[in-house]
Amino acid sequence: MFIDKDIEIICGSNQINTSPQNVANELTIEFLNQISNSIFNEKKCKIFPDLVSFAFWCRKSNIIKIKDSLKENRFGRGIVLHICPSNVAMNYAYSLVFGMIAGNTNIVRLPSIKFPQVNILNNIIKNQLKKKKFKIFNKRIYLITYKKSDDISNKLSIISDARLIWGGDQTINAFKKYDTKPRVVDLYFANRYSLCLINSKKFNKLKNIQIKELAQKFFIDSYTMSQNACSSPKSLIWSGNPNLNKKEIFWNEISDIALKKFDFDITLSNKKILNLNRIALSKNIIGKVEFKKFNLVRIKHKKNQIPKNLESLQLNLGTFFEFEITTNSILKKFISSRTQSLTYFGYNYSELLDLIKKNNLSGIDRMVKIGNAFEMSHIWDGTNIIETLSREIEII
Amino acid sequence: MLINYSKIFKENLFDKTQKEKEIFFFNNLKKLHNYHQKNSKEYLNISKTLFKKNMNKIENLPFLHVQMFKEKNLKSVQSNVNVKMFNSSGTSGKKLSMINIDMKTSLLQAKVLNRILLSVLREKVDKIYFIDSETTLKTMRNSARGAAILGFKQIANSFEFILDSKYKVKKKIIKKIIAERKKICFFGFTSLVWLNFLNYLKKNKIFLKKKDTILFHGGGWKKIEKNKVSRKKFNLECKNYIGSNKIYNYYGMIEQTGSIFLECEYGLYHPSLFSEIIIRDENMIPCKPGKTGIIQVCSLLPISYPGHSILTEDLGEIFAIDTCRCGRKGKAFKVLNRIKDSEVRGCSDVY
Repeated sequence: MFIDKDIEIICGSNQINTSPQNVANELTIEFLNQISNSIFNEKKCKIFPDLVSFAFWCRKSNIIKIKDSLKENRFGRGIVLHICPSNVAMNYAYSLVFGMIAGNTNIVRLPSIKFPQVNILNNIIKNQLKKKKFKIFNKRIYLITYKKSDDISNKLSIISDARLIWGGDQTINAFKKYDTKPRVVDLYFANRYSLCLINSKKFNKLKNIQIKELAQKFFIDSYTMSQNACSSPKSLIWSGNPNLNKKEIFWNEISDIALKKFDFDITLSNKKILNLNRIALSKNIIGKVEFKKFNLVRIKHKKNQIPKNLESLQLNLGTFFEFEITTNSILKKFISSRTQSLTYFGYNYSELLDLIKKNNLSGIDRMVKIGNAFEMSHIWDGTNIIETLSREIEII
Repeated sequence: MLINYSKIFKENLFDKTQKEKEIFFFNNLKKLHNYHQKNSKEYLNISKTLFKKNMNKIENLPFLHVQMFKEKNLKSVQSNVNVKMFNSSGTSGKKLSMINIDMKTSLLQAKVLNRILLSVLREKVDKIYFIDSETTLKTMRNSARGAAILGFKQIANSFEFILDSKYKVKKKIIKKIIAERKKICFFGFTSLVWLNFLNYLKKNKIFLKKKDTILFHGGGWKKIEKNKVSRKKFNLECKNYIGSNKIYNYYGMIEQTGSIFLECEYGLYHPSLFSEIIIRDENMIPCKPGKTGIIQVCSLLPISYPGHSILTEDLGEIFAIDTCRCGRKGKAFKVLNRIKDSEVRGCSDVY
């Protein structure tokens, strides 16, 4: 080890341990809990909400919940290669933990952008690895970086038993071309598109303060990562007839929050106008652009008016398609296999289940309340990642 | 007729106060706006989708982002009209602007450039020396630099290139320039003037002593940014080695050839009657003087393509309105730097 001199190894020993372990084993859970504790105990972590969320997620009680959902006769596959997005700081951490819980040895390519929270977490991990009881993980956790290289990616692919490729259609296509073991299990997370659905009847009953709370949640879903995340809503669909005043209160509040919390400067503004130029020139556009402050742009559509190929348009930096539909059966027209998350307000479980059953939807892999778009789960894009990264041994 | 250009040509270029200019310019720009709405589907789509209907002021008229000329081949002419495509000089690997110029627009560009240059030259000179090479005209005729050379040619009875095909100063040219007795002027791109001409003069300790000879230069400071050349330093070296303090920089772009913004003696750029400038903040609202924002350039010349109103990627600031010490009325501005190219990416862009 380790394969290529151009790989920078942040942690991991020279000798790799490739033997699988059983899922969610005691030592792994303890290790993760220690990491969770360390994050909570370090003051400098508190300014990174994504780091704190991760700490919540990997604490013992939560991992035990996951463990309880898994059969005991599941074991790891061997080496898992994780190719993580360049710009989502904490994605690599979740990916690593999925691989660990599944009982594997993990090689994780870190995001190319240098995030301070990544650095902090890596140091926390390194400190835990120094402990005697966790020594074994030095041969099972590899955090690496390397400059884009077909050669290295190919070498890493050859030794892997499973690969997790966190998207970008381009990256996925590149990894499909590399040499792999015949039995390799691949998980690809392609470019996705997300929507938000609001039940107007319920929305109209909200008091102004509640509308503002909802706006705050919608803001987090959409403005975190400049609306570039797959799970950030690009379209807001009002089902039924929203009260005009209340609707404006909702949007104005989002813009006001963005004014305080979203660093929208001249550079982003220039990019946004360029993007709007592109949108205006795309064949499918039928809406009309409207904005008060430029940090929030609405592309308004008439009732039941829906453009084709909605998902081909790149909306970001606080740009939203806005629709009003009279009945939820029209919702089908918004959804394709590219649709990932539906964030919602004003529906209960059975109503949502009904929506799926009645409409034979080809897309939507998760439905979460407005505000939870970024909540990470081991069930992602419709797949149970931990189960996929492990194998079930039939014992009869 | 679309715009009564001959009427504008009769007026002085820099005499209208901002208040007068706004009315005059709006009326004419609106005509161009209507024209392009009828003739360019792309312009119509952008203006209908992105802009409000109350187009009662220059600032409310639609504009295109400058990048659109790189992404789309925009035209406002029927397919049977002959157009020549001009490209930006852009560095290799980057997309080039595609600017479609027909005869009418081309003549207009030449005429307006001539008028603007004559506003400081007063009369046609005997010879213009290009701090450039003839090769540029051969290989980059339809680039920003080629277009500029062709445009500047008309202010002189004859012309000569100072640089050879390798962009080095020609052997006998210096003696010739020194010996010139008739009225001459110089033109070159800022980076060529600095790197290929001034540096040569400096190195060989040559002093041309061309007092009162005008040097025009433009094209931006970007290429010599790393040399840390300020306007002050540039002008000082020109004074030293060329011997003249009549140095006129201009702000212009291939998307609006002809209606350049000439820099005055006090270091501020001025729109002529044929152009206007708006500085916009992050909310796309026009900035008051003293506030930095994105430069939007307007020109009355683009007829064959919808380039009459463009949002650039340059930052600028208005320093004076009707009050520049040079006496020119209207807005006076500075160009600061370019908007930094920070790519915004999503979780779906890894590699």
